[in-house]
Amino acid sequence: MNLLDSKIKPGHSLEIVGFSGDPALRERLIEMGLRIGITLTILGRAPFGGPLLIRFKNSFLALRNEEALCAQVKQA
Amino acid sequence: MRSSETSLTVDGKAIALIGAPNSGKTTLYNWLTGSRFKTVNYPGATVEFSLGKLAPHLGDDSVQVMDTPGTYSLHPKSADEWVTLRALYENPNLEKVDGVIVVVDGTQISRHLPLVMQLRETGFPMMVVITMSDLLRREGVEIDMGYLSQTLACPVLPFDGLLAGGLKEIVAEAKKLQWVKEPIRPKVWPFEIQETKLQESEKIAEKALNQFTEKAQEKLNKIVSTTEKLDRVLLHPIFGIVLFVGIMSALFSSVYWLATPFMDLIDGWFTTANEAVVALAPDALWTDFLANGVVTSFAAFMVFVPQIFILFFGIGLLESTGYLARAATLIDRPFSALGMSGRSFVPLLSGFACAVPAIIATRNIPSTKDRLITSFIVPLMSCSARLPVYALCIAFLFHGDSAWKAGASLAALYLGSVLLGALAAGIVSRFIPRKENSFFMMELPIYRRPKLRVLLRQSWTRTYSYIKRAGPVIFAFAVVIWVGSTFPNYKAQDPYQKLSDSYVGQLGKVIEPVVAPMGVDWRVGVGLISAFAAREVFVSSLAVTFNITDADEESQQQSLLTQMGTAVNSQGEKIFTVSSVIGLMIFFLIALQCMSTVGVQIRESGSWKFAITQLVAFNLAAYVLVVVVVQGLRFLGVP
Repeated sequence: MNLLDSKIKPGHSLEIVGFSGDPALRERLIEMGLRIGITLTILGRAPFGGPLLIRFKNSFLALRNEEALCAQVKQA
Repeated sequence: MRSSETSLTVDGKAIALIGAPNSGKTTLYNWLTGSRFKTVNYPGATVEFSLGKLAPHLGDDSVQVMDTPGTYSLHPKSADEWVTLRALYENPNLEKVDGVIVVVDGTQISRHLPLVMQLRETGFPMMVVITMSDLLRREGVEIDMGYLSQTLACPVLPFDGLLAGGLKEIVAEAKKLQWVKEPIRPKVWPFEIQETKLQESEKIAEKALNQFTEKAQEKLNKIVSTTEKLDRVLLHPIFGIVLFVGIMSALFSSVYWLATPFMDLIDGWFTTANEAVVALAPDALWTDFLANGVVTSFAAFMVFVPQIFILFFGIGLLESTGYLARAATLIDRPFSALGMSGRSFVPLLSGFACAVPAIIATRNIPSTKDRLITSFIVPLMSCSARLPVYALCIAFLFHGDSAWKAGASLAALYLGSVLLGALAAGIVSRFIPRKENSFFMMELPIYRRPKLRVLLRQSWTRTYSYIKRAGPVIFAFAVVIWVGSTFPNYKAQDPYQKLSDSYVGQLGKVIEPVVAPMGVDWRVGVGLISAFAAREVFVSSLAVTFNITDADEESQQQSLLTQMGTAVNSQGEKIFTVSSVIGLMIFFLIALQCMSTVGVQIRESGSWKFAITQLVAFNLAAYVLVVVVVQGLRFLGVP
């Protein structure tokens, strides 16, 4: 599943297993520290279906839907 | 190596600071340079980088430091990141940098190390500075600098942004940086290599953290726990929005209320200066030029300086505490529907105070397309200068006897400007090609206590840059308008006669056929032309053209209203009717009649074409709409 999967609720811990989509976007996600194998926590969403808020290690990140869609995850 | 012929500004060493956004780069830069720095625009780009000499107590003048926009890698994905890369390789002011200080956030080492590795591959003489060491110390985390230095094969030093601890050592190391080989362009790591490099960085970071500190990661987590707690409220889907509205209202009301006494003060100075100049030779042309051309035009834009300073201070405060990134995240969805991003929010809201600082504030938007759309629609937000005109028109329509109708009309005008802005953004987003990917991966920095000294200086630097950039353009336009409204019959005593005979007056009569469909005559036309100097001028210009000599402002407006009620054109028809006044309000709502805005737009977009397109589009749209509305209302029998 990807990060946008509706089953994913705030507080869930997920592990990144891969990336799909635009290579530039994938590169940027990785540069921001989201690499395969890391565990992240879903913090919630900005209002009106806005960006997804996540935490990994001690970083906080807001990702738009199209970006969150690129990260393939599994339950950690 | 740099040859002496092509070296523009630096004889000694030039050191560039490179680092991820929020890594503490600018704080280090501020400590290194003291107050001796200037901002330089990269040619053709609106993004700025700063160049400064070392602060006097840190040694000689032979070292210059350059601050660059934050970047996550040397493979640029936004306009800002391109500037950083170009600053390293093709800097017009330095030709080439002599060394690089990579700034790494001590709490984010594993994420920031890949940038260090990329830079090391290019061959620049470099060193690493680990920031946030005050935070690390507070939680008892010690980083093994020796190990990092050995592994990264360059000097690694800690820096405490709060007390500037480690600054002298950093300077001493920076001076030692030496060329070993010619730098090469950064290599693009293929996906697999990138993965390997990241794992490597992670291992290095872990080892450096765990060498002297037990459970280092848990301690680092404690640093961010307050931020997580605050975010549960500040990013809450309901409370978050309520607080957001509250914080923004506080910011913008302070722009009005806090600035007012200072604006009055500046206004007072210029009035005194004006009178003093006139007193030198009361009827001479040169004093008239100095007083009503030069002094008045400077007053017209200097009076905005307090508002601009407070706005920059407020935005800087939100930025340095870490809230601005959250605000942008909260509002991103509605803005992205219009082809912009959450980062467009602050500039647009600033536009309600004044379009000039708002356009400057668009610099914070990394995507070129988002930035252009935002600065395109900023002038549609009803700025404070429109208020006197709205007030006059509303007072005319409702004769001041219906407060709620007046209030509702004003609210409708403001709401209308927002809707028009949204409409315009939707339209222009189709015409501006997207050159780069528009990622909205906003890193949300931890909440930090701002430093007043840094905030004040930063606000002043930005304000000063406004004065320096906009000043000459505004001055030039003001002189043209003064000349146009004074000559050729400058000896006329009667101000009505003088204006009527002037070039501006003649132009007004020439354009009368154009303004006539708007339901007004040449005198209002002159008002519309002079409103280009500053919209507030419209009211005083009407006062002159409708021959009102009452100097007192309150009664001036009252007698102007009476005069407007009876004024007739050459055919004996009333000029100010319900339909023509509604038309005037619509015109002021949409039209771009502000030379300061055009001046700043030319500077900021780096393009005459963009500013002229904006000018023509808004004024044409305003005109067409007003003609349609006025003629439509008259057709329906509205006077």
